[in-house]
Amino acid sequence: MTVTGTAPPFIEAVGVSKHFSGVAALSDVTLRIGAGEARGLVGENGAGKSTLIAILTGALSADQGIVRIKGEEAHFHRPLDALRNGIGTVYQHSALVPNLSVAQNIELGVEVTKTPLRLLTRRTRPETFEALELVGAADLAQRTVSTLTLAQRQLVAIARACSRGGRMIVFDEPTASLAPAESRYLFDVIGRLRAAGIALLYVTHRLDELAPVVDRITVLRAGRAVAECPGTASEQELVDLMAGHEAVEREDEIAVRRRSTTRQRLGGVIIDGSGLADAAGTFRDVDLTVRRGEIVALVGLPDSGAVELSQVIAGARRLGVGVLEVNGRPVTLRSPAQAIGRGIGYMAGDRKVKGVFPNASVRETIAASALPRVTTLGVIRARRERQLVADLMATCRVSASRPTMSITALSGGNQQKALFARTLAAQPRLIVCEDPTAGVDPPGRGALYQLLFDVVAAGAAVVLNSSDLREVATISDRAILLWRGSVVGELSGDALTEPNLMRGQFDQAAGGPNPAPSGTGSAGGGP
Amino acid sequence: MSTKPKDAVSPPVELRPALDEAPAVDLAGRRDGGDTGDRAARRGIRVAHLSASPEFFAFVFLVVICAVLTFSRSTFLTEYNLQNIGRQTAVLAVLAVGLLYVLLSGGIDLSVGGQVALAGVVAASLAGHMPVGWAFVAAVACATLIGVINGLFVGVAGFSPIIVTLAVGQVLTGVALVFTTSGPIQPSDSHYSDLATANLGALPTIVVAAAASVLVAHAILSRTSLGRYIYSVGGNETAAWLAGIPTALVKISSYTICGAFAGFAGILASSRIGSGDASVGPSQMLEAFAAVFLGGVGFGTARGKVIGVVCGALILGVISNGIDLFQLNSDWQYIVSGAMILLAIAFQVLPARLAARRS
Ligand SMILES: Nc1ncnc2c1ncn2[C@@H]1O[C@H](COP(=O)(O)OP(=O)(O)OP(=O)(O)O)[C@@H](O)[C@H]1O
Ligand SMILES: [Mg+2]
Repeated sequence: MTVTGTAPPFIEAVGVSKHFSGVAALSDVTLRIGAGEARGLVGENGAGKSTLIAILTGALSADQGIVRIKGEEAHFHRPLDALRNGIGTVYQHSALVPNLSVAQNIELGVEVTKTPLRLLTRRTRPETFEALELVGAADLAQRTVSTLTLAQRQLVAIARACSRGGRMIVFDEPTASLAPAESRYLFDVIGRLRAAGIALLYVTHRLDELAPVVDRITVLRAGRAVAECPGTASEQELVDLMAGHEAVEREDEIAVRRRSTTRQRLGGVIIDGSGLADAAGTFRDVDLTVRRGEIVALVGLPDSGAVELSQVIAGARRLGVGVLEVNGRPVTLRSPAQAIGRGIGYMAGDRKVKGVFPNASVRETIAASALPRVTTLGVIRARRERQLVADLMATCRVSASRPTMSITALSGGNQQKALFARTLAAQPRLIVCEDPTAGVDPPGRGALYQLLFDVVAAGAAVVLNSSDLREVATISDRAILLWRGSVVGELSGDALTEPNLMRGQFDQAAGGPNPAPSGTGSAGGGP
Repeated sequence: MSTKPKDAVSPPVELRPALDEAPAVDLAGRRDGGDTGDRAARRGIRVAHLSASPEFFAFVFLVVICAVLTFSRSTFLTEYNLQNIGRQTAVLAVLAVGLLYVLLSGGIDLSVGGQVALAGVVAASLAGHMPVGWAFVAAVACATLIGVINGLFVGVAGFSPIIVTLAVGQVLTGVALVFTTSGPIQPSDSHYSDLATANLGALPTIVVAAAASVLVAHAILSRTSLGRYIYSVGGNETAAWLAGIPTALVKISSYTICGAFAGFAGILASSRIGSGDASVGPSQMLEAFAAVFLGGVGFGTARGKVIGVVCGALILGVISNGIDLFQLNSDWQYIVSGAMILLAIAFQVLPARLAARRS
């Protein structure tokens, strides 16, 4: 071992500050990560985690303060500079070139800048294979990136980060939109990276992921590093540190408190589907009833059809066979607009692709689905719109310096809250949501859960599709398990726990598909 | 599970019951929800915001060019000359504003040249057989219909806008050319050019007409749900559809509005030259694109405003006037306006780049 007391840390940021149009995103943050160390970074939405990462990896430059690599001051002007110094980054949605192969993506950038006119060699370099092997994705080398799942793309991003003699990999919420099985596989890979002596900086809002992965945890609050704790710190401790003095209710307490009231809440049937199947046959013969006052989760692996089923209910996907009744009347939903007309609101997953209008302000985003509520003969009544949006921003705790700021300038979690506000704005009686709290901090998550509870208490219903099984166990009244397009079980009451949900998914899979993401969708075996 | 539905007829969720009432669900805002901050600070932000906007750059650009011409040519700032610029710019501004709608909705319309040509030819042909006003209305209706067709191709059939409108534009230009094989159509009604030559007080009628239509365009974009929807569809069509916005209808509307404005520009142009001439279309279209980009409208970013486009059109109008005043060959117009577009885009893009780089 080469550990000595005096060796400079692998990377250190000293006294770093960053402002965005006068608002401080980071103030005087100092962070040191040793070679081979695994560090967690947590904080509420907007605490400055992504900004700090961007500065460490050269995507942004700091207003004040310096970044040193192995004791030497580093001047990164773009992410490639950091990559050349052995620092790679993996985001929730990593930027890869979709129409190139995996191997080409991994090799992209370095040799091109050396000899710009030389034709790229067709042969894949051995380093590329090594890197892919490290993440267990060597079989993907020749696949085109656009055909990969999100999880597979992340593996590619990791391989890309390691292929240049990577010494540190930064993860910014890598699991926020992965299915549980995919996350588990990702942790395996992270374990291997650690064994290979690669340092980690790991950002997440799912605090339970931290203990097995990291040595120490840095807590950011409002742009300041407020604490550094051991990796074994309890979630409650972390949440308290993140939120400051305010107490946040624990998720298992929420679950107990809520289940006790399920019976009183239940109302009439709002969704009644029988023999449902979508045109592509991703799910078949599904019977589903949702009552007012309940939160029903649809749970399953990525190929289970759970997401597709919820899309059919939301009008975002065509029903192939079967009868779908809304409030007792059979309907054919051709678009989300028609669904909204019948009181069904939809909050799609994948915020960037399916949620955000990059050219819109926060206010325009939140009002988008509810313009009929604030218009007279198509003309927007500015005061009414302002009022509606201000109320919703308060209700959903969207923290923006002003409602006219661009939605893309909000932190990821706050964008998510704004999209939730947009869904609520149309006053739906049924809300279909996919990963509603992806990237939302624990206090914000609690707030969103409370909102969903308020919605169902007022007589609405929620169909939940979440890759976070803890979330399913915390807030849903019933969980319907799907396996390869069919309903295989249902959990409710005391049986609705995270381990049971996990088991429900994998018992079906026993001897079946390989949970590794590279096998998703094509692996053999069956129930 | 309960088998007794308790409130089978419960009302829809009313999280925000009446807009001015206290919120029904109060999650004591832990953090600042936004809308507070004192007024002066907000105004400060707004001013800072404004000065960074592309429309502001276009405006400054216009002012600078006007200032230069004012000081170098004594004939620039005269009533006659300004009216001249107004007449010249009116057609361009109307056409460019129409294009703006399509660009904001994420599309493109290469058929506006053909629409301008067709509208002029139709108006001139009909002018002898009916009152001039009705001939104009019929010509605008014609172009609007073409817009609807474009919209159906793009919004409903899902064809690529650049291909569809290129093809439609070719057909229209061809039709207009076939109609005018023996030269531009001379309307038999002597009032045909009144729209272009008459004045309302000190203002040319054509300028008043163009200004009115531009104001309507501005109001639709900034004040109505259709305007919002157009920006949303251009910003992220998938997200717009999922959020319940009728994206097909929005696209049809934007092409239709573009068609109506192209038709209006067509009759204004035709009235100005006093005949129905198929050859005015293509050059007008290129200038309109130039005006749109000078006005700070991004291509494929769905950002831009009517005010910017009007500034862009005025910049081109003033430049062309300046070339006349300096008695240069009018072919210089192309070189100067091309250079202006490059300069304008540099002014819009570089400050943002530098700000991002600065440490
Ligand atoms: N480009 C930008 N322009 C203006 N403000 C920005 C910009 N990027 C970030 N901010 C602001 O900086 C602050 C920190 O944002 P950052 O994205 O680092 O938060 P985060 O801790 O990563 O949050 P999350 O958990 O939601 O991802 C936020 O208040 C955000 O609004
Ligand atoms: Mg972030």
